[in-house]
Amino acid sequence: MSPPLLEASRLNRSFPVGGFLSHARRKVLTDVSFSLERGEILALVGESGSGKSTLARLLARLDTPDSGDILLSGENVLAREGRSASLAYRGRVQMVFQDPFASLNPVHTVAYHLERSLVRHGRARGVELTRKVHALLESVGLTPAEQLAKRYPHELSGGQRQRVAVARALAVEPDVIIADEPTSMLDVSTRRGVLQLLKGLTRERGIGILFITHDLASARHLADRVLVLYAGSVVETGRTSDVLQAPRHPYTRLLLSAVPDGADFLRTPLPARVATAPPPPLGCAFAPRCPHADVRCHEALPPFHLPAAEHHVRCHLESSKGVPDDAAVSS
Amino acid sequence: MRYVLRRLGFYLLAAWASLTMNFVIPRLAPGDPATAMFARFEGRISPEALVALKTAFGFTDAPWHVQYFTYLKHLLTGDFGLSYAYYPSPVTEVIGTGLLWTLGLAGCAVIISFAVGTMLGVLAAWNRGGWLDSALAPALAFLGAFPYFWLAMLALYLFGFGLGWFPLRHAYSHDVEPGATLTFIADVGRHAVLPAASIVVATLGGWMLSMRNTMVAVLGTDTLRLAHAKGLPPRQVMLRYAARNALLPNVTGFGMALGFVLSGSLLTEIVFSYPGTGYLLILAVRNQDYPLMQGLFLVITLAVLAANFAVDLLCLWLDPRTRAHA
Amino acid sequence: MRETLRRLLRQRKAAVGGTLLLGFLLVALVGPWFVMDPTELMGQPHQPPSSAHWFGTTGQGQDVLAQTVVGARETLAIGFAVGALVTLVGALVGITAGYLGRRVDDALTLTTNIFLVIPGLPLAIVLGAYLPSGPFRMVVVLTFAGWAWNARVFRAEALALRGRDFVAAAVVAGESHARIITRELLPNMASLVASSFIGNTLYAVGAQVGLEFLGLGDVGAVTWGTNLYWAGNDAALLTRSWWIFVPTGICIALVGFSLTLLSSAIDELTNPSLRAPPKAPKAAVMRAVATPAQEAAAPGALLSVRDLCIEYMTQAGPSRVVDQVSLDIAPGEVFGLAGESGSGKSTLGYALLRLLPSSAAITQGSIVFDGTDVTALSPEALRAFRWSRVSMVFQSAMSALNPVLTLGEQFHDTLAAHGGASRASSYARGRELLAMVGLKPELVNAWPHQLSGGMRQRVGIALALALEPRLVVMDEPTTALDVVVQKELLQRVLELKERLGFAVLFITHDLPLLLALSDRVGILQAGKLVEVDTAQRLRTDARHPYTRLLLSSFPHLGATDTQAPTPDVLEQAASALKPPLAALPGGRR
Ligand SMILES: Nc1ncnc2c1ncn2[C@@H]1O[C@H](COP(=O)(O)OP(=O)(O)OP(=O)(O)O)[C@@H](O)[C@H]1O
Ligand code: SF4
Ligand SMILES: [Mg+2]
Repeated sequence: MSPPLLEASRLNRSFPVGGFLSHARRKVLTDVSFSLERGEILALVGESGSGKSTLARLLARLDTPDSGDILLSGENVLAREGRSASLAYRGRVQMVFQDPFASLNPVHTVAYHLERSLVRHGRARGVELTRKVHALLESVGLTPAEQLAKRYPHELSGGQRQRVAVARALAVEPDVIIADEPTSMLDVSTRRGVLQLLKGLTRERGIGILFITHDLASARHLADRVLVLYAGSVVETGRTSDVLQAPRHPYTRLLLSAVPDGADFLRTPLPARVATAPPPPLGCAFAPRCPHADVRCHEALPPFHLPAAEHHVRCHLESSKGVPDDAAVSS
Repeated sequence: MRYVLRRLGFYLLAAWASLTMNFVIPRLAPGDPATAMFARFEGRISPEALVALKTAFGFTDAPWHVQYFTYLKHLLTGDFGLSYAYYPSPVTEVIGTGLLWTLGLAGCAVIISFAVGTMLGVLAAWNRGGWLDSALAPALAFLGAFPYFWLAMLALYLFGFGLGWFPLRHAYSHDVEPGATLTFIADVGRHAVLPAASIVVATLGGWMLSMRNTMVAVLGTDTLRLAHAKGLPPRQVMLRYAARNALLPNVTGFGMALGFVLSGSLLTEIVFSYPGTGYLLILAVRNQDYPLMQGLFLVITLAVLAANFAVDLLCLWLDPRTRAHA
Repeated sequence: MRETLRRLLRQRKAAVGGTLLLGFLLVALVGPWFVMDPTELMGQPHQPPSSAHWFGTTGQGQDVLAQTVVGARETLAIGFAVGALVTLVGALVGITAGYLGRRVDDALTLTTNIFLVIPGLPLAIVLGAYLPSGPFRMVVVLTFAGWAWNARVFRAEALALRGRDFVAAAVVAGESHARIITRELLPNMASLVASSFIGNTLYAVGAQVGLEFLGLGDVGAVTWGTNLYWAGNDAALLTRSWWIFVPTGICIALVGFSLTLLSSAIDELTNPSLRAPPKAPKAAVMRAVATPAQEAAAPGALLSVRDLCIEYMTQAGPSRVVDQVSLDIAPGEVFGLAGESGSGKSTLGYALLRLLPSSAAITQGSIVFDGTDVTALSPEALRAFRWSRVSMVFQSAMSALNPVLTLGEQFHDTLAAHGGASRASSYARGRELLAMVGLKPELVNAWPHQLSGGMRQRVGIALALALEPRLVVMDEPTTALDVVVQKELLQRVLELKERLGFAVLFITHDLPLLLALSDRVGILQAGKLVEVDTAQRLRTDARHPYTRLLLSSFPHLGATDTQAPTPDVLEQAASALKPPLAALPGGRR
């Protein structure tokens, strides 16, 4: 069996907090592991501050984990390359940023952005360059390409900019694209187009996409698998249909019940308590808000449990079985 | 408290840096200024005294780090050497009273100017495009483009020599006995009017403009929109919501600009022969009195550092957010 | 770039400043050939202006005009040289610190800050006293004493730019550090470099003149500073020879003023908010002939908006952002207003409280609230009307609450402005309101920065309910929040609405949310209200194509709608639906 395209293994990252001489650090990611296959879309969901963007930056090698490994086609890249990523890695893993208004340099044209990626990675040169730029623009649905290539970012709409950003990532012909909330800054009527574009890429070119979002509904439409992050740890992962239709972890259920969908979504109560204490240092981070928390949850970290094939849940409740019916969310 | 200690640590570091610069500059300068500097004393003092003076300044044949520690030790005991111009008075003694005059004059002028300028800035921003904004601001900006000392010269020329309204020089009249008497205070006040006014006029425009600009930015925020939406009286919105928030960055800017303004006011003193540090400074420059010059540099720097620390404390008091981190 | 220059030239400040400066440069360049020798003793000392000596003579008998003209040359040369050098050093240090970050930044920033607090003039004097005299000394001394301010500014800018995604994107694209600095960062700093250079030149001229006045320049050279030095030495004041120092001073001030004008022109270019706002468009004449507002109001409605048009004054003329909107809100009703960004939702919300910026105006139509014509209220009546009848919750309570006042003070200000509550009673009411929105009453003594985003938004709601208004306008109050927090908050709002009976105008772009929350929903597209109906009916059979487009844009969690239209169809629909912009009545957008 061939190794997965991209694999993260027990990634940890913490940031220093407090001033100059303080050694305090805040843990942002704890032992995050997952794998991404060729042609697959993996959605990473979680609330703001749960560490989604930090994880994206680690994988795009804009930042280095404190510990843990990143494997690209089975090869441990951190061990080989250290802190700064090789051009070869950049040629295989690309990123699309959240805010298309910030991710394009206002002083450069659309063509410049694409040409640089092409040239830097030796994907085209000379006369071929312009042709390739136009082909790229067309492939992301920006026509007429000749005209758009000459524009500056401020002359494009949000959706168009995000397409340029996707085209730039495609220019290097990558195997993996990390898309950090690529639609959250866009108007609703343009969102879907960008999402369909990403989906098409996996189908046509076999690119693996890590799709970061806080919107469970678009995750459901786009992703093959879902990874739920809470306070820097993976709490549930599995096939999209399994996780979103039959959520096992109390936090996933909470998240699902809060998605504004359906006429009576405001009438169903939230399956959560008001947090009165900080998360226990050893136990489950969700314990203060969890309606099912008991003593175990405050004392020991729950292990991963597999209720179904490829479905992992990190909860004591699950490992000792018995999901109470009243908390099940139907949607 | 942590914040206060951090700031204090920073100023101590800055003080140390200026002490060190004071030590390094004469030794790195091309030629041999140290020798030149002591050559000026030759003939006026005995050779033994000269050696003592050199030692006091750390100019010995000892390796530089030994020289450096000798130098630091002397400074810490308050020994800045002897002034050449006022030989044989020690530098500390010469500077002592001068510093008081400078702080009094520049301090008052700067505080008045900042207060008035800030108020004008608030009003100018509140009435965007009114006469304050469109006429007074550019006029003050034009006045601010003159060198301080030139405005001082003009003021002295017009109101001192020309109209004779104010005394021409010094901080108080010779025939008034210094002391805590009403006549003396009135006399000092009369002498301070022209120099202080010229500093105020030169700096007013700057404070006004920066306050106006921060205020304009604050006026566009949601905080102000909410204040209006709540139906608060306009005066309250202007002062308690807009000006209060715009003041913070401006006070920080005030701290930064202190050194600059003080430098300008030193030159003003020279025009009025005001017996402050500025006047001493020019004496030192003209007589190549290096010990006095270096002593003045240190003392003025320390005064500015202290003032900056005071401004930090003020910010702390004004801003609950910094207070929280303190 | 060329566009920027052109805009700069169009500005009056830039034109005046530039012309003045060019004039002086010309004088400095060619003037010395047309005047006498400035050092030669040409006549009697202390002579007032005459036909032989237009500006009079100095205390030695030199020609003042010649000294002023020749003095311009070295003064400006040194000024620009130092200006350039300081900019260079400052930019180098600042960008290095800001871009590399970490240790390098710590060290460089500390050094910069230390130089910043050490007063420049005494430092320059000590340094100058030990260096051999000449123009070179002046340049070194001024650069050494003045670089720190610039380094600080450039660091801040580099830091801000480095945090921008396009730098991260360049890293991901595999660009080298050198290339990122030169091709990504520097071009974005062009205006900063220009304004720093101007500011530094201003500093250099002033400081140079000051040092020379002290006698620290080359007293044999002819510069503006030495002119003043000699004026002081030759007792210009005592002999009443004003002409010796006045021309030089005025020249210095004019150069300084021209530089100030230029830099403020650049500031205004990069930060348009500093510019004077355009005047609001005039109300249309038809206002006068319109039917009396009260008559148009629907009977029984709490709020009746009729034919409301709002225009912004922009550079390209007036632009209409709310276009003939009519809507009614019944007492106790939740009315949802949906639309994409820029459709005019917020503008409409602000108009209900007459909170429009000064560049905007209601040009037509009426707003009648409970029998009061809001558009006709006097300033004092408007103040009383606001908050007591209609209040508002803003998108970001984070930036709407006053950061320097405790919550209690903000409650007190609000209550006191509408009928003199005592501080004690205001605080008591504040506690009560906080408890009502599910916060601890003790928070009345807290500052806004001590609260999380969700808590602040609750405070915003508590504040909005303080005077028990009959309508609360909520402009995207949950957009910045996580879904879980959003649901908690909205459930609380609905509960309070049941209890207190106020009506809500809820503004958001999130249509599914709005449909679940509202009794009736209005869809706003490019300033026009294209469809208004009950939430129930909109969900099942919306009539307007734009509404249907919006509805289909939101993916659902349910399994029913996986067959979404393809993107191309969607986009074609979207572009076909956007009305041609210029065709809007009332002007261009
Ligand atoms: N100060 C202004 N000057 C000129 N035009 C403005 C100004 N403020 C807003 N506009 C324009 O008015 C229109 C409506 O703006 P508004 O803020 O009401 O939109 P919105 O629907 O609330 O959008 P969002 O969802 O982004 O908040 C936009 O086209 C906007 O560009
Ligand atoms: S481990 Fe315990 S606290 Fe954590 S989610 Fe499961 S039941 Fe809740
Ligand atoms: Mg809005």
